[in-house]
Amino acid sequence: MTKELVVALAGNPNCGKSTLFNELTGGRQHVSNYPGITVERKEGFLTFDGLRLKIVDLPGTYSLTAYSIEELVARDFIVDEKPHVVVNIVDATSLDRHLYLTIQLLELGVPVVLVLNMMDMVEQRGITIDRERLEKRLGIPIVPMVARIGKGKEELIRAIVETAHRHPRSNQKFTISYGPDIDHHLHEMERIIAEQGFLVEKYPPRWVALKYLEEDRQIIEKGDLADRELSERLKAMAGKIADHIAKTLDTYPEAVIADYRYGFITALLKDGVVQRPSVTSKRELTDILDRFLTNRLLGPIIMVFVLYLVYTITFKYSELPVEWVNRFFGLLASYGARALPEGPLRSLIVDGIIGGVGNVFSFVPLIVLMFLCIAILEDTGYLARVAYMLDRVFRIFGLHGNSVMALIIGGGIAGGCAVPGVMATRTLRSSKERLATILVTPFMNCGAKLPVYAMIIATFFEAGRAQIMLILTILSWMIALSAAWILRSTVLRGPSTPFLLELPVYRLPTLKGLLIHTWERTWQYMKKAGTLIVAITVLLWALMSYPKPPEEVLNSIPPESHSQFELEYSIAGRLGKSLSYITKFCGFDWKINVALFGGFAAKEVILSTLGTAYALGTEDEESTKSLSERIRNDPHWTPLMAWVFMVFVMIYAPCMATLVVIAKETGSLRWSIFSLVFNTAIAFMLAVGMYQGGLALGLSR
Amino acid sequence: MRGFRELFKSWKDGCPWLTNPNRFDLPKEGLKPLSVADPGKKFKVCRILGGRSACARLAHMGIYPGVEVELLCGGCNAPCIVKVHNVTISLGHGISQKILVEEAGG
Repeated sequence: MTKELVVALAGNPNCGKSTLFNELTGGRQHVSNYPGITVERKEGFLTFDGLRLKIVDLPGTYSLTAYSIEELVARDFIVDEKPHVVVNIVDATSLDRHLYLTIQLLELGVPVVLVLNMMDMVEQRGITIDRERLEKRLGIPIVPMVARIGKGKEELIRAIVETAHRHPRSNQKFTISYGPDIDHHLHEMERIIAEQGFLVEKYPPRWVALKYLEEDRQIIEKGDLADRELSERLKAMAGKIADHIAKTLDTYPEAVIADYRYGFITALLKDGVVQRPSVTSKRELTDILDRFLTNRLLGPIIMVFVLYLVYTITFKYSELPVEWVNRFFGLLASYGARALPEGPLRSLIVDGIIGGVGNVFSFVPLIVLMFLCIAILEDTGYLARVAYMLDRVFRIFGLHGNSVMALIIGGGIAGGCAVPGVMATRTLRSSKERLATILVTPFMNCGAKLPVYAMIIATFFEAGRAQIMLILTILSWMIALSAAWILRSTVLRGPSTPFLLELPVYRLPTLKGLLIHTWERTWQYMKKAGTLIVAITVLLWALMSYPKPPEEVLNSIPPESHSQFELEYSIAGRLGKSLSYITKFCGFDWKINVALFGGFAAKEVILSTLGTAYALGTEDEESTKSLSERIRNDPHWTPLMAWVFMVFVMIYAPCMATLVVIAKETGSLRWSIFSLVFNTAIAFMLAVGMYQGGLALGLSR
Repeated sequence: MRGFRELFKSWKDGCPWLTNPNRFDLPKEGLKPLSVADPGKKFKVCRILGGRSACARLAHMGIYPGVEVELLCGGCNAPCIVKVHNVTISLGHGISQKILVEEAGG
């Protein structure tokens, strides 16, 4: 039997935590979401000396309060799942900041191994760190490392194993002083808590007292449940201290606590632990770069260029692989068509299953490139600057600076794709802002809507075709931002998170880190979303092919209208017909309805379904051209109708691949259904408004 | 819109904005919001307006009364970037208005 050690990896964002995690676990990792929330949970394994180490990468946090989900997740994991060792990784070049979390871990009484990362940078800057002295002062083992090249890995593993064996939980007590205003009362609260055994099975008494002082929601809730009376008493005591602090220092206890913690760290580091070279006036590279990259004038220009580059790389370089994927599945389909006898089975395999799997894989090149670009922007530290610069604009609409990535990938410059767009919202922290971004991303003009626009524009508008595309792009931004504003002031109402973001030091990303990041996200898409997308494609195929009309009816109509009649006879066709009672208000007949229904599988399908509905051969190369002629000659189609149709296509229900991804990203089907209904409702209302308004203005011809 | 309101308010207070370049200054205590402080200088944080949770979040990021910050980028009511405890932090417009600072001596 091999014994398993559970090791939690804790640290600030941008301290090299993921790099260390990748270095320790290599490719063997497992990514999932914590139940019900959008925080990623990463686990990996490592064997050493007959021991199995399970390494859990906690979300990056600055502290262990209850103010954000990430911090709660990290704290709950450490407290509830009792890892054998918590490895706290810190950026050794800014110990004054990073030790803040270390202190809180120590106060929580957990066995900690401290990793001083980026020791190469420390040496380069001529800083010396007295490791033994720091070890003695903090009472924990310390391992210097350079995580990006794996230096110090052996020693770390040894330290982990040693600590796990030696350290029965919380046998040592680490306390720091919070000054005369707090210490005395804190001690009193601690004594009462310890005497009554209040919450002690999980938390050290002093820590509980501190949390009462900080008005920590989660701990107070737990306290209320455990012992109402005592909890009230502690609250009253904490309230008294808070009042006193408000009166004398005009601030909250948290600020005083933070002040003393930082003070403790400063004193600790000054006391011979860290020696800096006396001349430090030299500006660091990051500051120099930031002078240009976040410059008031130059910054936005560079940003637009970078975002455009991301967009181009994602979509231009994926064109070829996407085409290969499509060609491969096309070949597979034609092979299947030849090998299988004609009948429903062939149709199921060729149109349903091969079509569905092809659909899933055609997104893969896009997703790989998009995540690669985002990983580069994220790992270099530039993404934080983009968010910073755009936050002011997006805040007006209740979104966040980071929302821009999702909207651009989703088709902000005509021709993106909402699937990677929705996945790109992972860089957003606040769940309400993230949800709003997810819900409005499908409004953008994705690549699959473009051929529809192109056909309609070519058919109805002689001049100004490029301008019409531009109008459609601007329109989609306007609609998305207004929808975000509506959502954020109704369903997703809530305060916008104050913008407060660390701008990390610029760094060169490691190839290994980039590849692992990209791969794990792509794999997640294929595994989770993929299976569902295939299933729904098959379902939609069935709805559009069944029931088949009886043989004798088919024989009585000319063969070129067979497919049209089959479509009309199917469930989808009937649905289209019954819906036309409502959609006649925006001028849509059953043919358009069924095409839009097909577009639910993927927007590209709109054109081919429309072709079938207009009794054209489906797989005809000339179909687009002849479809264009066909609808030009149809008295039902007018330029007004063309506009209404394009706007409807722009905003109505996201394709089901997007819906599946929305469900996966939000962790509930509810938001997919909401998005389906909300978008279609807006599309319908706008379309009816445009159509009726146009008719009233006499634009029918 | 905001600027307009400020303008109206200062007009009501006797038109000091015509002569006073730092027209957004809060006259009492000699404090001013970080949002209008001059970039490139060091400031001492004196007061933080706003709710408890915002103050707590700021405190855990290292911004609390008494701490010294260096304003790297900002001024003119824009969002700003500060350096505190050796780390660079960007602050949105809303929050930088609520941080009242005074120029650090020296």
